[in-house]
Amino acid sequence: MFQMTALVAKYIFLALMMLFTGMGFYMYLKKPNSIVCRELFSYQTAIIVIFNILSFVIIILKEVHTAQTMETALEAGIITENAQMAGIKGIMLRFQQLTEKILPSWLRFSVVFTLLLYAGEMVFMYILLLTLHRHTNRLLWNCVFMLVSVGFVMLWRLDQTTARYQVYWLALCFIVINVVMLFFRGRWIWNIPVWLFLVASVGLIVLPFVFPYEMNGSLNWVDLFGFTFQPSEFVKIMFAFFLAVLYTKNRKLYSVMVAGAVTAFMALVLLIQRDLGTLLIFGILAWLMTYDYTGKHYVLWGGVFLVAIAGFFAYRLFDHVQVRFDIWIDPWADVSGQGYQIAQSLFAITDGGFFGRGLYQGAPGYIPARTTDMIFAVIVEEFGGVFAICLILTYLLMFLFVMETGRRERNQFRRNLLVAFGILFMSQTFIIVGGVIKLIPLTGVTLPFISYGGSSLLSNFITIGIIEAVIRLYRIDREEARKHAREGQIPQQIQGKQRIVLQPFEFGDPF
Amino acid sequence: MSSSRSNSAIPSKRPENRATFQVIQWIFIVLSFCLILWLGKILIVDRETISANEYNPIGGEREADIIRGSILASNGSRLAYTDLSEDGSEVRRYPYGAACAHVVGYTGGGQAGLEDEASEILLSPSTLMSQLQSWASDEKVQGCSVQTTLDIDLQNYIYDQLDGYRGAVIVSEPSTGRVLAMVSNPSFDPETLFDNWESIIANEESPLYARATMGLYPPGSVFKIITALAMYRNLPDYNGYSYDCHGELQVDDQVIECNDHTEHGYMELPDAFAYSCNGFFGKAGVEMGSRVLRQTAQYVKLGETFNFILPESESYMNLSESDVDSMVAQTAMGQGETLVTPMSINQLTCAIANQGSLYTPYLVEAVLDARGNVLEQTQPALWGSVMSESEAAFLQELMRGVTRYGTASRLSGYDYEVFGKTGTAQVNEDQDSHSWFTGFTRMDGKTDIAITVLLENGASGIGAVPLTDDILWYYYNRSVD
Repeated sequence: MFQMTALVAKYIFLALMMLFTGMGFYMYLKKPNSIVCRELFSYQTAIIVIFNILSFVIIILKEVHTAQTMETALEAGIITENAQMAGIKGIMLRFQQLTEKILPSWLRFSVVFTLLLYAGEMVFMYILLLTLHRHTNRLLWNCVFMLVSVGFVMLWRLDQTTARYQVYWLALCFIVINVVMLFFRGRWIWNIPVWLFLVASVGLIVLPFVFPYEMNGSLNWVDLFGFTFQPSEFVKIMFAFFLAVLYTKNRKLYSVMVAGAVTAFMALVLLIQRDLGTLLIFGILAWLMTYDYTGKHYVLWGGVFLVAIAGFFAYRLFDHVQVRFDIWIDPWADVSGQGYQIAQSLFAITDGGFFGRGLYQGAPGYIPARTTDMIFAVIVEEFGGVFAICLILTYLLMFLFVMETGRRERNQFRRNLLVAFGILFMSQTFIIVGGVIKLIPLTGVTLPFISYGGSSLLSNFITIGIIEAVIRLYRIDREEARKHAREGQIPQQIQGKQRIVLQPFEFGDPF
Repeated sequence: MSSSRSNSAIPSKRPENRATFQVIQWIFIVLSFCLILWLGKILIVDRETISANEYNPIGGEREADIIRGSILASNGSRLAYTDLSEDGSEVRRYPYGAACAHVVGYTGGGQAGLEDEASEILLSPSTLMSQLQSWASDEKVQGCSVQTTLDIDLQNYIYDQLDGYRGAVIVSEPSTGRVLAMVSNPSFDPETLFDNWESIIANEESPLYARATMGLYPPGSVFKIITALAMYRNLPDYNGYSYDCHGELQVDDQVIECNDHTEHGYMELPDAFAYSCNGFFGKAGVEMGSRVLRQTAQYVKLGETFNFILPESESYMNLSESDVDSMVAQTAMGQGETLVTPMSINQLTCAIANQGSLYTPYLVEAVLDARGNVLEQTQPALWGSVMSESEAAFLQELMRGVTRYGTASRLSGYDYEVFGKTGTAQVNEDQDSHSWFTGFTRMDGKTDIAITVLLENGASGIGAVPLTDDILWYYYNRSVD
């Protein structure tokens, strides 16, 4: 039953994802009026709910299936009771035996608890969005929730423990994002002087040297009083703030030089920390922001030229850059060694094809870092290439939407900030997806909202929270401006017959 | 207050939105479409090559869903099947072990032979219904079985006979293309292959090498079949062509000796072929020239492969018109730079036996479902015409002489008639020559089987002809249970 369900479900998953993406792009391109949009938002939410229910069904069927297989094996004497219980000791063992007497064997506490916690978090957050955070935009929220849903089911399929931790992180993220959004209601935040962001960025980025925590040969982790995290994820936000404030100034040459110096310092630190992915993101951010600030096209071409030069020297001077590049050129030369990761990723992708194998039907166990950086390969394998393309389009939609809100923004700082966040978000997506499918050299960054990782999830949610806060501010400003404009005028509509005027949908309208 | 004012309700000035905005948007739109197109390219263009990569572990993982089907001999005995071991895991068993290791192949840490080439069949569920049932019940489904054309008793017998020699034997049916036996020795046991991998790889006799289809050897006198055919096709008076053999022939500064320096005396083509006179064919080769020889070799499709299911090497003949006469003479009697596979010689013999037309050799008789019902039956298919009927008849006549009174006269006097050609291919000074025999039998006036025997450095040992004698005797006189 389980296999059949998984095989049928993959087409349902695909249909849901296509519908979801289609609706999003319809709204972005056609800009229907607010009533239609409101309806479509609700449909999207419904799709997310169905998507999650379907994943739950498959997850539970898998649990039942595993339990049955285990029982058969126990009966046949292939595995013994002891082997099954190995590793679980003392109270835990007794607790498990107790629950197993009362509950069916598949209904394990950890499974049910995690699923309920996850569903509860999502529902609770949605209720908060509808009440506390009105005036924020639902399209963006829907996209985020969709990505989180895909991420959850994928992580669960790969490793239950990882998925459970992701759910805990998600709870923290939902708390933090509420705090952030409430925090950003204060207007004083937009007046923080630029040097504070500079200090924060630089302070955070050198933190790994002060409290180092070695992880897979990378030096970008921090161990602070028992908490380990990746400060570069948060430096991204601080750095975006720094550039956004700096580039509101009128002294252009001075600002660009300061930005250039800080970026160069950051790049150097990241190079030492071997965090090439983040280095690339920072580079792209600084480059495009400078281009936007100066408006000179030669900055664009100069950036490309600079990347080529810097890339060449990095290739010559740093072994780890050279290795990455060589693998990219020909991963097949050393499949069992250096090229292992990218080769396994490509094997998984081609195994999936356009329609995927279906959940639990693939063989992603060979891909290193499959729950974090390489998760896109697993998605292609199990959900299929078409689904993955929809996923890329969803990311693109989010980016375009953030840019759209940036464009109509009247405050230069906030406008810069939105553009910066858009660039951060999209360049990160491009770097990791491109790396996984061997379009560009593979550098380890996370796939936003899908990969496992507390720091990454948290920083992405903070970003979204700030974007939504800006959207809300804009909305409130506009209302106020309208009210201001109406004062002193004789309200015409009230005199005549009341007419409902359908406003053309503007992104940022309430729902 | 003033500073907060600038941030709030009434915006003083809308920030300029220059073209930069559009450019940034377009950069990422283009990059996203690059991602999509590249993903599409991987899935459409590169899919085959990537998934066929030898390091791809996922093919093996597929076996988790399907129990690999069996490989059967023509009489139904299992050559390879999947068994459940005591701890519940699946084990691949090979009851006949090394005897048909190169045909059946192996699977596990790598794949070869039929296990590799027919892997898709073995791992495909026999019917859609059984697949649906397995999905519904979450039980493993039995894959299809492959029934081969192998005569397992004959295969086993040949393998036993080859014990202690390096070489290959192929027995096939010219009238259909069925391969009845295909043995390469030294061999290995597929069941324990991966336990002994290191020592097998290190073995200098390369047991993993399928000599029957992959091995390239100098043809020796077997090549005289082609030279004789060249004479028939190009010399109008080939019947009257004669040569007086004194045990050696001087061409340029090289001396071509007959085997053991035998002086055959005055002889014409049939006798020269039967006694395998090197001088005769060397002289005839020089007279016809390299072009004719090469054309004839191409005419009989030497150097082509036969769409066989197992990988084949390509035979080749290096002879150009600029080569000196001594080289032409060497090639005409089967030395030179010609290298052939036992498989290609066997196919040439099949064509001669079958009046010039060759059937595509096949090893898979039928595909069976889990219950043994035939899903797909292989029909003999004509590969093509290799020579005309008269040419085949001419060569048959020559080959009859070899077994009646020539170098393989030992094979005469049975109730089956044998046609053939022997060969002794010199390798180098300090090594024993390779010993060849290729031929076919006729029973009650009808062509029966073609057999090709090659013994590496085996000329002074048992020799190919006595071995053929044993095999044929076994084939025709074994007790049928």
